[in-house]
Amino acid sequence: MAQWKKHNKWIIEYWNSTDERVECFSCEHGSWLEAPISNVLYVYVQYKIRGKIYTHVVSGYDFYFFNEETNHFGGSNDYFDPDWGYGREYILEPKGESLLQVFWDKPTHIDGSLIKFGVWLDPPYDKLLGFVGTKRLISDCRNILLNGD
Amino acid sequence: MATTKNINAGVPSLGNTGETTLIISAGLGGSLEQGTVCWGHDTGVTEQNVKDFADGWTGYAAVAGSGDAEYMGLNPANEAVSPTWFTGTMKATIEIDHYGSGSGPAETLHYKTGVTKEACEAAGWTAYSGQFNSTGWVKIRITANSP
Repeated sequence: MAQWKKHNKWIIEYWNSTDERVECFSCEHGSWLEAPISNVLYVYVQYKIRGKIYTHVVSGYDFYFFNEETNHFGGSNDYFDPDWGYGREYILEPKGESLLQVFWDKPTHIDGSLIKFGVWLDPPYDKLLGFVGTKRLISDCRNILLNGD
Repeated sequence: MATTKNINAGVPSLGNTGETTLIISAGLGGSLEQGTVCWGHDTGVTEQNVKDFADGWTGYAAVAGSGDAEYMGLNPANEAVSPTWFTGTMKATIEIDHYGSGSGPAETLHYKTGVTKEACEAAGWTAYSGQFNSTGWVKIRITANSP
């Protein structure tokens, strides 16, 4: 595995299901941050490469599980599998190089449970500018009626 | 809690008594499960049957909670499919979150219907756009939209 380049700080923001920003945190590189998983949809990352600023949306489809214990990758449908203890990895371009990982720890989707994010960057990403956001991903259906007239 | 109530009250015409026999012999404990149904909510339900999502919904949904707090969570593009349910012949409607508010991206509904359970399950899906003619048995599919 690549040696991850360390950066000082980034911010994680959360929106509720009506897109209202509800919380904003900053944390140190390599540490974990906890947030209500019910708010998670996208992870936005803003970074700087050779002087140019990029904002990248890491959507749910872009994530893949990575189980550190088994060194095994899983697909999006594994999201609900409680056996997956660790989160997902997204590989930014240039393709084929592992440049960014967004870890999503203990992905039980139950409202009120917690997730943890961590972000690592590799060169040529020379600076993470401090913006990681999340937005709601999951559709929660409370009940379904089959009725007649 | 899943219950069946008002078994004979207001049930639309069955259209085929053989189908009724099939339901009873399908191991439903003597309860004639037919007619209108609500999955996922208990309190104040006016449908003839009160069922849980945990009672037979399949697919990629994560079912959690119980009673009125039961819900089904779906990742974008993931889907869940209902049990094949006997309504009898009737004008049928499908509704999401009548008794409580869901959250997250909206969902899309499809249905299939057939005179027999087997015919229903073998039928193709039709996008739900409002009232439709149930020919006896109905199966529902819910798909989470991408945000």
